[in-house]
Amino acid sequence: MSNRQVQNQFPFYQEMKTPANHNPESPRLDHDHSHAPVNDDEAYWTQRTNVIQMLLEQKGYFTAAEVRQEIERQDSVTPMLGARLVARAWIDPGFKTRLLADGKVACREMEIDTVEINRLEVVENTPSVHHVVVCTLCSCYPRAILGYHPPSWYKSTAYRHRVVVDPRGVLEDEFGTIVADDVEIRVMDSTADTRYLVIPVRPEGTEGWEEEALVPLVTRDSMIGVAFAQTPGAD
Amino acid sequence: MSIQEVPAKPYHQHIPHDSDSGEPICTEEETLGFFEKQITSIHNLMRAKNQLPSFDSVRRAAEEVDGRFAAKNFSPEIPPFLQGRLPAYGERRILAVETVLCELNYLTREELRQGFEQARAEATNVPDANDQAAEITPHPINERGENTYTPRLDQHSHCPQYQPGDLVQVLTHAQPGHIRTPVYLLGKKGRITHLQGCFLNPEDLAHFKPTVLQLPLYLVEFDMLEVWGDRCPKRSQNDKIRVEIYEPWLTALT
Repeated sequence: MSNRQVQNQFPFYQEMKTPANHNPESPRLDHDHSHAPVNDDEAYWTQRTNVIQMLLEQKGYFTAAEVRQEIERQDSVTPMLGARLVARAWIDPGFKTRLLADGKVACREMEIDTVEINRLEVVENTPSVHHVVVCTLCSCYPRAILGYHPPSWYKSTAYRHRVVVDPRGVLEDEFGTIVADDVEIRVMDSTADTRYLVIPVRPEGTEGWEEEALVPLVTRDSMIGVAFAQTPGAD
Repeated sequence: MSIQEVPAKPYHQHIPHDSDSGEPICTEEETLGFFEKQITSIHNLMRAKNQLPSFDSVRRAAEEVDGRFAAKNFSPEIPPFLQGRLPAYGERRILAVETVLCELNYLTREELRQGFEQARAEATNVPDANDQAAEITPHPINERGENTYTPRLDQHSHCPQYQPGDLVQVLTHAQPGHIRTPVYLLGKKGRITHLQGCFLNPEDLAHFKPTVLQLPLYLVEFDMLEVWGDRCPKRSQNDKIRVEIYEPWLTALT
C-alpha cells in the first residue's frame, strides 16, 4: 500500500513529498494498486474521504488538481513563518510594536498570508509574564503561521484539560519547562475569533546576532508557550 | 434549495472539561493519516472558494457526533467498528464535514452510501480503471455562488457595554447547541481586559440561523484561584486564564 501518511515530521521541514503511487489527478477510486481490507480503520477512512472528494469533483465544485495544490500549500506552511516573525521582532523594536499592535498587519509586511485568521494577537513573554496557548473547545491554532496541523498533543484532551488547571505542572512534567514562581503564567484559552502567537524571551548570549541566525532558535513549541526559545549551544 | 436552520439536537454535547484529568500528555508526534490532510484540504478549499461558510457549523456537527457517542445513539453513517471507541480527531472531522456537506445540499447520504459501496466493490474486485460511478448523478452547479447559507445581519446588534477593568460574571447556564464559552467558566467572575472587536455570533452561524447578531467580543481575565478554588495548585494561585467571551455571556458585577 502506498505511503499515505507523509507529514511534516519536523518543524522546519519544508520540502514537499508526494506519496509513491499516489496520482492526485485521478479520482482515487481507480488507482492502480490493491487496497487493504476495509476493516482496517485507516483504509476505511481513506476510502471514505476519497468518496467525498470524488462526488464533489463529479459535481464540479473543484478538481483533483485543486485539492492536490491545497495539500501542497498547507504542507508549505511551517513554523518557520512564525520564527521569522519572532526573530524580526527581537531585532527590530519598531516591528515588534507593530506586531503586538496588529498581528495581521505586521504579517503583511513579511508577506505572510493570514487571510484565514480573523484576528491575530501576538503576546510577548517577558521576565515577569509567561503565556501558554491552548484551545479547550477544539484545536484553534494560528495554522497560517505555525502549520495546518497542530502537534497531536495540542489536540489531545489531556493537554486541553490539564494545562488550564495546572499549567506549571504540565510545563514542567511534560515539556521540561520550568517557569520561575515569581513569573505570572497566563493561559490563553483560544476559544473564539483570535489566534495567539507567543514571542518567547530572547535567549541570553544572542546579543548582536543577525535575524537569520536567530530564526533557528525559535521553535514551534516556544511560540505555543510550552517551551522557551533554544539557547545557543544547547541541543 | 434554501438552507434550513439546524436546531440544537437533543443529543448535542457541549465540549466537556475534566478538571481532575490526570491523563498523560503524549508529546511524541503521532503520524497523521493522509486522509486527515485530505479532508482538511477539501474543507479549506471549499471555504476559500466561498462554497462553505465559516468553521462554526463543522464544530457544531462535531459536537453532535460527540453526543451520539455519549448516548450510544449511533446513526447509519457511524461505522460499527467505531462504536466501541471514540472517534479520533481526523475521523470526527470527516463525520462532521460530511454532515455539513449534506445539510448544505452538496451531497446526500444516499450518494455517499452508494459511492462507498461502489468503492468497496471495486476494491474487492480489482476494478476496471474506467468504470466510473454510473449510478451517481452529477448535480449542476448553482451559478458558482455556491455558499447557499448567507445570513442577514440582525439589526439588534448593539454597542459594547463594558470597558477594560469592568468586573463581570459569566452566565451560570449554557443554552443547548453550539457554544463558544468553555463550560469550566460558567458562573466565574473575571475582569474585562480588552475589547477585541465585534464579530458575527458563531453560535448563530453554527446552526445556520437566518439572522445573525454581531457581538462585542472581550478578552476576559480570570484568576486561577477563582476558577478552580480548592483545586488550584498552590503555585498557580497568582496565575491567570485569559479567554475571549461574547457579550451576552457576561453580566456586570458592581
